[in-house]
Amino acid sequence: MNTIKIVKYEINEMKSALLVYYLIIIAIATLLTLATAQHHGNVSIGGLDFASVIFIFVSGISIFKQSYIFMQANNITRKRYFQGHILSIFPVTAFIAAFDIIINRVTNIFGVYNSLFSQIYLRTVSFVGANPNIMDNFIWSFSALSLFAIIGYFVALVYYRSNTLTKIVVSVSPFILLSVLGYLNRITNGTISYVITDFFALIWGFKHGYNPYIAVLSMSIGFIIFSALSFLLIRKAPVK
Amino acid sequence: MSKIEIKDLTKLYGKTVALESLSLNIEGNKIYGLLGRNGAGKTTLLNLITNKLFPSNGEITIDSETVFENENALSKIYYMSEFNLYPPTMKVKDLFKWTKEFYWDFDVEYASHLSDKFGLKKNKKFRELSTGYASILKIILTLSSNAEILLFDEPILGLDANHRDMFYKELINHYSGKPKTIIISTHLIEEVADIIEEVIIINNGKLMLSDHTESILSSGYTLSGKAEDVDSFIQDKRVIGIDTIGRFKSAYILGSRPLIETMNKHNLEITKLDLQKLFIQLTNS
Repeated sequence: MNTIKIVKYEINEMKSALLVYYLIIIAIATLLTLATAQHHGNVSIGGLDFASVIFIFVSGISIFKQSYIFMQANNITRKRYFQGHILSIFPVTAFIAAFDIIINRVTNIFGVYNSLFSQIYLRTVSFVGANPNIMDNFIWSFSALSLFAIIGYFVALVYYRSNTLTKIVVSVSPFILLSVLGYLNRITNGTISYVITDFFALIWGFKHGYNPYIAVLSMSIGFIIFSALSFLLIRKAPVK
Repeated sequence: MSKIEIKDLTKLYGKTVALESLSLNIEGNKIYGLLGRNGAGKTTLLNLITNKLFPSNGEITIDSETVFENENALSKIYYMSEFNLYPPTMKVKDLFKWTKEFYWDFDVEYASHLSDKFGLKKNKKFRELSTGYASILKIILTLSSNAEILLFDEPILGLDANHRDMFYKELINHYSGKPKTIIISTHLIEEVADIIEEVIIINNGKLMLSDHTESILSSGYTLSGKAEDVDSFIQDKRVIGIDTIGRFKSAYILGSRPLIETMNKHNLEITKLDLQKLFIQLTNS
């Protein structure tokens, strides 16, 4: 079955990047733990798993063209390649989510480490250095990583399908959007920022208490939307 | 024995017409030469046959199945593109391994044998290969794929004379052992003239000619001899090209061959028509 072979190929393509990434992360975590150990728990480390979100987003962007072109060299249909790519995201993001939790727990033995998840969702308890529920943390991280992987892939596809003019428009449009929103926010006395903050609090699950599973649901919906948009872009993508 | 049927195919790039209402039947187990000037639409046609591009109009089928996103139809083809579609950091031996994943009949042993024969180092990365060796690798992948239809787009790009000769011999050898449908798109017409059984000429996106090589070549003849003898004989003939070397001249003529006895009287020699000369004449407009 070609889908499984595509999954195998895509995971294989990620292997060396993942190895290098985790060597760097482990080195940083070790250095930071050693550096903060003398402060006897008064200084905490955090944000390494945010690096994983950046890593998976950039990987999503960089993996597209090479693997798509190679699949075309092997006459794989776009639909089959897309299926394979989507399925290949999950084992990779599951591995990263699990490995980040392991780094979190090991680092916490020797120092104080606050994962992205605990910083967002454990604010109501004594959050510093607290170990969140492993399953909650894993499912939330897995969903976030999967969402950013598909967003990266979508961005790569948008650029791939665009001509030079469209690429410029796509590149500057976030800045234009931010400027317009900033202007609207000023003339509405902060209503826009309030609405946006409220919306994000709702979808990230901290509008009414702190519930990571609302964020998991939102990110799953986001994953489906970006997958559908990516499929629309790839289904007639030429080879160039 | 796979055959390709192309019906009323049109491909537009904006307002530019790359292919216009092209209809063609490519029969199974034959070697075709796809000829045309630069920008005639040869690569576009091959890209459309392999679902790399989408037609603006018309249909392409392989054994009556559309090629559009059709796994079964596409799995019957291996396409040696003139473009580099392989990961630059992948080693030659890994390319064999991964191609085997997608072409179950890919012959790794044969690919390895050809690599040794052509002097291609299997531990080299694709980006480390010269233009000639990149072409050799693509040739090896195509031949070893054991697909029913092999498409070669400019296969001899960057190949030296020795490697070109090896390629033609290997192609014939491969074809003799396992007959299949082969299309070779090339500019070096003289070199493939003796290999191809069928000729397809595309000009300005339109099908100009599709016929057996032999019947095309029998539509005319080459006349050689002293310049003055040739000149006097060709006055009322349809001459498509002339080559002059010193006092001797060769004229390429369309029309039925005169009797050899008549030619002997005039000290003139008749040989087969030159495919390249015919091509230049046909597409020189």
